[in-house]
Amino acid sequence: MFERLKKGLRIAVAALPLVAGGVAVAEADGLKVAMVLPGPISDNDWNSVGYNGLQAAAKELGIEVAYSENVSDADAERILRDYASRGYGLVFAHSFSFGDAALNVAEDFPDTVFMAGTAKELAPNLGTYSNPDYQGAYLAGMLGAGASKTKTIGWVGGMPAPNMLANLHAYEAGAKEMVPDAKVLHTFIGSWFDPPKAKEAAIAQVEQGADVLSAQGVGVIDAAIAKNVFALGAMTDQNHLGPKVVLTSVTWDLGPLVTAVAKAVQDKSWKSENWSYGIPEGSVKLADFHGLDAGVPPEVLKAVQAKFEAIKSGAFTVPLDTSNVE
Amino acid sequence: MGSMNAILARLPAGLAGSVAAVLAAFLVGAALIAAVGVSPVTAYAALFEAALGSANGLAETLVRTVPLALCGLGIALAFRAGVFNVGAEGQLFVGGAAAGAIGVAGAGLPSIVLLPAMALSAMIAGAAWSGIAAVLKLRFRADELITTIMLNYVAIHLVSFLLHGPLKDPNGALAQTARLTSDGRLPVLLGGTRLHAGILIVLVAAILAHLFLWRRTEGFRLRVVGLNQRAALNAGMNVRRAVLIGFLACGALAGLAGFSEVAGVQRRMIENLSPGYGYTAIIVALLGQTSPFGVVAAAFLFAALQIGATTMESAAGVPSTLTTVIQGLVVLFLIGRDAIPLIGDALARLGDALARLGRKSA
Repeated sequence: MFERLKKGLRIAVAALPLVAGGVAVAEADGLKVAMVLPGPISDNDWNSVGYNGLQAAAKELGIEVAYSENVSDADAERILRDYASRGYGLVFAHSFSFGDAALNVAEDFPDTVFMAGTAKELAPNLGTYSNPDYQGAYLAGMLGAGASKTKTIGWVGGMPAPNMLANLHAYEAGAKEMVPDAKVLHTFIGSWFDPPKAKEAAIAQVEQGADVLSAQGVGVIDAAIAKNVFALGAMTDQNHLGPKVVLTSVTWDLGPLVTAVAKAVQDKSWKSENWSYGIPEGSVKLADFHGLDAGVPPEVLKAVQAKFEAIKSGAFTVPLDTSNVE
Repeated sequence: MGSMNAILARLPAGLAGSVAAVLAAFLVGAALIAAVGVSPVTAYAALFEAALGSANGLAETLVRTVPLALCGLGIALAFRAGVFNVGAEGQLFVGGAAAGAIGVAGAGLPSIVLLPAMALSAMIAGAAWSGIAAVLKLRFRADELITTIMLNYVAIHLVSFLLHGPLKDPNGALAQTARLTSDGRLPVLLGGTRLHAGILIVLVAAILAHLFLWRRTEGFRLRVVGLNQRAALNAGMNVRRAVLIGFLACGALAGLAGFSEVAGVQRRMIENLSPGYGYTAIIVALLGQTSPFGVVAAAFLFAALQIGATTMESAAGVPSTLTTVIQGLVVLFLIGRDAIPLIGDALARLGDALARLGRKSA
């Protein structure tokens, strides 16, 4: 019964554009790149990183780009499909939670290349890119523990996704390297974007003695301002969100990665694999201290700087641990 | 103009009202689009081209029609019984969670057993959730407008708790159930798109709702109770029964919408399953004049608006929220249409007064 219906529908749908006088999808003469983002591009965080990376690639390669922000998980597949059917040759699904959607769409659009952020399952035309900011998190952990007077530091993140777990474990490892008896508190707020909840969780950690907070979500810096403790920003230089408390930020520049992937798609050398651009590739860095380094013991700063160089040169590899936590 | 009037005169009054409301909303929308400096023709062309002009676009519009129509049908039946049930959103979530739970637990069963089991459990869960408000109304006279909307929040948080806890995929990090096996998914009707068999469920549901309302005594009673409870009571009808049916039918259909989203679209139960289908469906039910086929047509229109909106934004530079404004305007014009003859009368009186004034001064 379904077969017959399918056939009828197929004919009807094929005829419809003709009836409606619709135009066929315009053949693109150049590569068009789209990015689908889970939150607002102005979040100074994960979504800003994605958007900035896309725009950097557009500038570098002179290609046409488009983006959709604030896309919910339920709607991601539709938006990905829309871009693929409109002739975009490379589509970034910039969220861990879009992995499913990207997998479904990749199956139906074999000629489009998809890149899903930190995806678990890949397809011949679906690659992934990891978020190696855990390398920076190691430095943040060293810095945080070294700057802490209570030997207790905090960490507030979204959901226990592999990249967040990697970040947390590296942060803990870094802290322990600097101060072996340091205590690291952590909270997953269960949402990628819920500023009031993140703030609440961060304040709770301060009340348990934390005096440096790793801000893996919007809202933590507000708590640091309210409680006057140091915060370590993430993704972009977040000092302007709290000029007196944001010691530094672990920044992630997605520009080189988006550019390299787009180039590879253009010259047909793209392969489905995990693209990783971290500290050695110059994508993950520590932002400027904006003068706040005066509040940190000089030997701590020296050790952090030395570790950064060691990671960059390959002399030290930050352990990647994505095991679950309580 | 004359022929236009002739066409309108031949249509039933209700339909004319809906069409006029939609046209008026589009006209005001055009003015707003022009105000942001874009040609309304370009913007509307981009919108409908995206929603209807390609196989993928049309398929997406039909996919979006499914939850809007199912919730809209349920709300329409409730409205017919005089029940202002605005709880379809929560009933959809509860239904989706039930369908997801059964779909995961029953993995391995053949499709022909599993899918009906999922659909049935979703309908029972939705009806039960709506039944809470029914009991509160029938037993304690609690206004369903308040209870159903409050129960939406309870439902969404309850489902969120379940997805973070007992229903969570043990191998995943996200708050969602495990992925359904292919036996727990609605078949795709058109290869390469997401168009699934849910649209057939909509058609069947609309036909059944129509037959129920206009061919069954029970449906007749439902309508009488909705039109005039006192008259129904005097005629010896069981008013409480009709009200209960209104609540349960709405819950069951909204639950079915949850099932079709889980089995047809997401292939698992997720948090944020619905971006407010249950609320948009209230407008859909009103625009469809609570007639089952009208509701399906209205759901299709709103689905097209929502699907086209994203493309209109990126292609023509018109904020996609503008279609939300158009949806709101439809309601405004629909509710306000009774005011049009009043305004006409007022204008006529004003004209007469001015004419008299003119004669006097002459």
